[in-house]
Amino acid sequence: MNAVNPDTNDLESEYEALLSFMYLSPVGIIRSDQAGLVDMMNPLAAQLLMPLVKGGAIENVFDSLASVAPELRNLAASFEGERGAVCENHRVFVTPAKEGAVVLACSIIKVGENLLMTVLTDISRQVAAERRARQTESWLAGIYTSVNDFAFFSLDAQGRIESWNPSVERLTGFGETDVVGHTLSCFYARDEHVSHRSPEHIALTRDEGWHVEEFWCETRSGRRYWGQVLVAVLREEEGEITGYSVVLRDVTERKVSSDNLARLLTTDHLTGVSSRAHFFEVAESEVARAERHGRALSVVMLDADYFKRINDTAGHQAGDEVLKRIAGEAKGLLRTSDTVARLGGEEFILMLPSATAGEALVVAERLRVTVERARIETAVGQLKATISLGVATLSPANPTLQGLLAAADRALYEAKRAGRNCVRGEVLEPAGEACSACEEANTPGE
Amino acid sequence: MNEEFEAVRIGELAGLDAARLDEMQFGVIGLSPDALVTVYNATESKNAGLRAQRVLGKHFFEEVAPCMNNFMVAQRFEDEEVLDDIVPYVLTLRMRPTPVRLRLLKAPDCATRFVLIERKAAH
Repeated sequence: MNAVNPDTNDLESEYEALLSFMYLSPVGIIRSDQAGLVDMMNPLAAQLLMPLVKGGAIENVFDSLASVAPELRNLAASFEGERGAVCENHRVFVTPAKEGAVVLACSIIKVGENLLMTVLTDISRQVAAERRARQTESWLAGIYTSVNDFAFFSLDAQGRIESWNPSVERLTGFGETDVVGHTLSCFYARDEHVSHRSPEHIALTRDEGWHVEEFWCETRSGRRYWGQVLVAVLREEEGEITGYSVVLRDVTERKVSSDNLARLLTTDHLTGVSSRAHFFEVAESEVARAERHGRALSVVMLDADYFKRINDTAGHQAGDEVLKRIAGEAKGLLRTSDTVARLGGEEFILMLPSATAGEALVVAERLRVTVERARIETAVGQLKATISLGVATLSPANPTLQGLLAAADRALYEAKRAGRNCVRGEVLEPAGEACSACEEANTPGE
Repeated sequence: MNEEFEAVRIGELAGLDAARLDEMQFGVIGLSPDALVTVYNATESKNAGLRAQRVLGKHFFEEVAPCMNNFMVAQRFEDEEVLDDIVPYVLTLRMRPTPVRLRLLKAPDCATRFVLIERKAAH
């Protein structure tokens, strides 16, 4: 029974054994009150939450998760049953990266009147595996639909193209001398910076026997298409893989990644705007699209001013009403091609495809004024709120989604520092009559 | 010698006997190069609620404190030849979330690596 310790009969040893048991638990367990105030937690819970909190204090489980899963507080608060599951394996996307994303599963159980047990599990590996499974699935589904346009060829042990046939030329336009001896990267579109990808296909195929991936390709004449590639082990000699077969297909029509998105939780529970996870999914493709077509793309990051004060004085429910109103006003102002998303807590983002910095500043200022004028009805009476906004535009200085978000975040910080209830942005062109509130920000090259 | 959390040197720690280490006001954990616990002082034992005899000889990052088996602690002992750094951390001593400071110590001329743990504020 007590293999660990022979003298575990007394209470103290039992207690010690229980502590050790909890220290070693491979899932995070947290006990809190209904508002999320942490009473007890085990080490793994702390380890999972630590990267999410600034300053290292984990006092409230909902505060700690607010930056990545603001909906949890609301789920718990609006749970009406006496006891039961508030949520089960709710997915929390901690990092937006498509590859190597950190994803947590969160289950919350209401145990009693003011007592919640939360279980956190790191499911990043599982999610990555599911992603691959989905690709496999879509591949198999696709195989039955359109098989008109595909190329079949083989690779040597190093992943270099070793055989060619007319199907390759029909799809890609490349002749035998163009491709034989090259890696798969010769099919990639020129702006796909993915020199590491070809070896990765091969490595994954080696591990799993086969591998499916999709990316932008370009034909010899420069026509772009969304290519799906299946690599499978073709030959093994004395345990060594000596060759691979490849099927490359043009799946541009199916690229509208609707099936992929539908699986994600696309909506923020409280405000009805896009969820954080959905935003990153959309944003990555919007950035790619803007680059592809050389079009402008701007974002507006915004944050409710003194939101903690609203929560503290008027209560969380009134705070929720404020957030809903801000989201609603934003939705009302935008075009259908624009996206509003709740990034976390009281922070929102607007994505404005084709909008220049000047145009984005106009939208931001209009929203600022609209929110400032709004009278927000809550259970504790009418409230007023203001927002601070930061604008950023895709540019050589901010060429990636990450750079764009960082620039918007800096601008938002500037707006906060300038006294809140204003718009700031890094603008490369004169914004004209954009808005009087952001003149200072219009220094070129800022 | 200065026995303060921030000042004490790895060579001095390695030279102290168990009784002196027990008197330290902060937790002292000593590890062999393969991460087996060789030192576990009374302060740490009291804070964590684990007796030294349960912990000594165990693999620290696998069997005792998997919460430090990450890039912030375990990986640094792996990667760095010389280590003397203080990192803010959250431990769950007896399942109560507790902000602490960890000091990580490793030197080429010392077989024992040390993790010092200082609770930020007394309860």
